[in-house]
Formats: sequence, C-alpha cells, structure tokens
Amino acid sequence: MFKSIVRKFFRNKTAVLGLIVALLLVLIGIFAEQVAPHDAYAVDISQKLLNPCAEYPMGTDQMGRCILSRLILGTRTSLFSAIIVTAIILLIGVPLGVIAGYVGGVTDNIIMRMADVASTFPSSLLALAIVGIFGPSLRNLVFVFIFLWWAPFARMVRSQVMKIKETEYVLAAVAAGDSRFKIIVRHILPNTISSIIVYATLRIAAVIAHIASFSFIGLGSQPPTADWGVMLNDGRQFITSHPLMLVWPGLMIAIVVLAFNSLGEGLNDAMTPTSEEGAVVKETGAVNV
Amino acid sequence: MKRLKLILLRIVQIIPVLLIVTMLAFWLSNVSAGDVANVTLQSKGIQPTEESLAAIREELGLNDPLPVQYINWLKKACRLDFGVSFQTNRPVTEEIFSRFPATLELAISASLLAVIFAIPLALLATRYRDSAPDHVIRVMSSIGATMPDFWIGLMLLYFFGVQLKIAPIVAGSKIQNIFLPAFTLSIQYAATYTRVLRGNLVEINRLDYIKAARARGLSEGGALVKHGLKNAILPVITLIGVNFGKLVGGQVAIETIFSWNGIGQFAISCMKVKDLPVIQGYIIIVLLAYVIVNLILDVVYMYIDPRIEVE
Repeated sequence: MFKSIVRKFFRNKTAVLGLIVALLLVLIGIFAEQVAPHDAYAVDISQKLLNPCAEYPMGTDQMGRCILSRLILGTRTSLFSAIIVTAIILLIGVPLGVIAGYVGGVTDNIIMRMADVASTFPSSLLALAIVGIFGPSLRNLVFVFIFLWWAPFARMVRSQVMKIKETEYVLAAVAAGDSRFKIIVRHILPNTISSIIVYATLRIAAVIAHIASFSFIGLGSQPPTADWGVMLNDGRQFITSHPLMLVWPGLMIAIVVLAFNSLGEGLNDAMTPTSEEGAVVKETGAVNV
Repeated sequence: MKRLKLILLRIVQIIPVLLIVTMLAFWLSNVSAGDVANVTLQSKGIQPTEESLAAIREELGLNDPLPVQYINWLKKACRLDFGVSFQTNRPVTEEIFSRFPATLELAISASLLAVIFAIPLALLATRYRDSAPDHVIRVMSSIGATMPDFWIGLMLLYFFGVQLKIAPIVAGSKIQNIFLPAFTLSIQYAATYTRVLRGNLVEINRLDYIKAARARGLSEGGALVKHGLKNAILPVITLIGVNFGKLVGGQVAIETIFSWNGIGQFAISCMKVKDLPVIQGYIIIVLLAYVIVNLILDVVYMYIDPRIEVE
C-alpha cells in the first residue's frame, strides 16, 4: 500500500519537483542566517538602490539592504508562519472533525454550526477589525487565519470519518468490543491521514499567499521585517526605476505557492485510488479558499 | 414551507457572525486615538477641561455600562450613522458610498471577464479531454488559481504601464482604465470556474441525454454547448455569486496597486492614519452587503434548482 503510493508519487514529475523545491525552501528557512550573504536588516544608505552586482546578487533596496538576504530571511517569515497556522488548525480541526463524525448527534450539530459560523466570516473584514483593535502584526493575522480556517479542516475530516465508520472492519472492531478511543486511534485516524496530509499541504500554499497579500496592504508583518509582502510594498514606489525590486519577492511567493500546490496535488493523486481521482480536492474545494 | 425554513435557517446562521463582527467594530471605538470624549471635544473646537469632559462623557453615554453603550451604538449603526471621518470631517457613510460605484464597477467587470474566459476554456478542455488543449488549460488554471493576484497586478502594471506605456501608472478610477485591474482580479476566478465547469461538463457528457443529442446528429461540441452547458453552469452560478459578494466588499490590494478609488483602498488608507469611524462604517456596511448578497443568492438558487432542501 505504502510502496505503491510512493511509486505512484515519484512517477509524477511535477509533484517530485514540488517536493524538492519545498524541502529546499524549508532548509533555506531553517538556515536562513547561514545562507544569507549579508545581514538582512543592516541599513547602509550609501549603498541604496544598487543594481544586481557581485556583492549584492539581486541589488539593494531603498535602505541599502541586501535584497537576496531579505528574500532568504523572508522564506523563514512566511514559511514558518504558514506551517504554524496549518499545524494549529490541524490540532483544532482534526479532533473536532473526528468527534463530530464519530459521535454524531447533538455534538456533531454544535461543532458543525460553529464551523458554519467560522466559514461565513469575510476574512478581510475580520482581519481589519482585529488589526484595528490590537494593532497590525503578523501574530494577530495568524490568529485571524486560525479562527477562520479550522472549519474546512474539521468538515473534511468529519465526512471521511462518517464514511469509514460504516466500513466492515470498523463494525467488526465495534462488535469485538473495542473501546471508542481504540477504534478511533487504531482504525479511523490511520485512514484519514492521507486526506489530512494532502489538505495540509494545499493549505500551507494558501496561507503563504494570504500572508503575503495582507502584509502587502499593511495588515500583516510590519517594516522592517523581512517579509515578501512588505518587500513588494516597499518596491511599489520604485516600479519605474527599479522594477526588479518587485520581481524577486513575487517570484518567491509564486515558487513557494506552486511548489506546495503541486506537492499537494501529487500526493492527492498518489494516495487516492484511481476510481476517485482528485477525491480530496474535489470534496473540499481545497484549491484556493 | 421548506423554502421559508431554509431562509430562516440561513438567517439564524448569520446572527452569530453579525454579533461578533458588530462587537469587534464597537470595540474599535474604544481604542481610537486618545479618549473618545477628548477627541470629540477637540473636533468641536472646545478646549477639554474637567467639566467639559465630564459633560461630554455624560452626553455621549460613556458612563453607561458597556452592553448599554453597545446597544446604543448598534442603534446608530442600523441607521448607518457612524459619525464623521477624523480626516475629512465628512460623514463616514457619505465618504464610503461616494466610493462604492468604483468598487461595484470593478466587481461587475471582473465577474463578467471571469465567466467570459471560463466558458470557452472549459468547453475546449472537455471537448479535447485528456489531450493537449486539456492539459494546457489544466496547468494554466492551476497556476492562475494559486498565483497571488496582487503580484500579477504589479507585473501587468509594470509591463503595460512602464514598458509599453499604454496604461497610466496612476490610473484613477476612470472607466477607460478598468481593464487591467478587472483582468487581474478575474484571473483566479476564471481559473476556478474553468476547473469546476470542466468537471461538471465531463460528468454530464456521460449522461444519456447528451448521447441522445449526439445520436440525433449533433456534433460532440454542439451537444455540449446546446445541452451540456446549461446544466453544468448551475453550480458555477453559486460560486460567481459568492465571489461577487466578496468583490463588492472592495479589493484592497488591487485597488491600491491601480490607484482605483474604491472602498477597499479607502478603508486601508484610513487604517494607516487610524481613522477608526471610517473603519467601523466600512466593516458594518460591507458586512451588510455581503450578508444581503448571500441571502439573495440563496433565494435565487432555490428557485433555479428546487432540489435543494434543508439538510
């Protein structure tokens, strides 16, 4: 089972490419300070707005900071916040989804109505209100995303659990007198893992894109943080003179988002039986929420 | 009866959202720059003293318990009274509504463009399923759905504005400049609609009535357009509506990039100078617009597709 998934996954070239790029980016994020040629926060006005050269491969920004170093540090900012957001919505969404799907009844109803409420919020309005009250920061933005996005996770897990609950092996375990906890851990969770992994991978891509766009409009990371959205906002006023300042951060966002997306879609194709290809993506509409 | 029940259910669902968002918006009035009483006095040109502050506090009801203040604030909000903007001293509602047409124009054009792109692309992908055109369209829609729209906007502005010089860099919301921002916004929606529509068309293509149409001599493409499209497009209409609801709220990043003077750009520029009455007004008005659009959609959809029932 596992072997066939791996084999199927590695036959998919775009997915493998996505995996390699994603791993590379995570490594860059972890070792950002070591990889970066300069200090990403070192201001040197005498070196401002340089074109790419040997010393600064991507040039410098309006404060004379090395753009390449800021891009590398930015990988940490956005990738790590995206991973944190995704991990927390997993921790909230998966248990709630399992409980809703397995227990059913009133509990299910309460959890699902909460999920309905969370999905009805327009994200930008909530972000605007929270930022207005607590001030603009990446942390507050992360809170908004968690508040909104545990819901689709819980819903997806719930529907999987409801299907698995009716399978013969679970019914057999129930007949054998296994405890609920044991059934969930031994039989139900392992069968939802593949959908959870796919969904989480796609979610990371979506979170990165959202963080960048909120930071761009000033509701997320604040200058001088090395963040791709902030860098794009800095570069806006130099669109005529130094357009490259706008190209680099955008390319990074595009590469990360595409890498995690093709990784997620590759995993999805590899993990779902051919008869229901694209099952998870289709079921949850996970492409871009 | 069932329809009425469904609408009621939706309204009940919206209540917690309305409560939370209005409370957050109300909370905003208490974090505004300095004491509310102080700010109000100064905007009236009165020197704040102990007595005048106490008097204005009483007058504004700032001594009431918070729930009472909230209810009073809500009553005013229901009449769309959010006070005046700190920046311009004009009523908030006036400021927002004067910018609303620009946002609406953008929302309508972007939605239209998305549909105009999606329908032929989906038909093409279905007709040539699993061959070159389908793969190309699949990759394109996958990229289009995931690329951050504001970056596409910046690149388009650079290409058409700086390089080709056929579009102004600072456009202002003039209708002849609407294409670039509308196109930028439409890309991700077009991509999503193409995907969904193709999926539906492929399903429908397998059904008997399409086969019957082909048997009667219609070409494969003809059968798709004539009989398939009508049924495949139904689920897309909901999507279009939901997205339109989002667009009507203003697209902060795109409006900023193309200097489109809509409500999104206005809200964010007020955020930067902490003009909180405007933020409050924006949040409530957009929330109402969003809720109303979604309710209308539910009702319309119920009449188009009577199969929808209460879960």
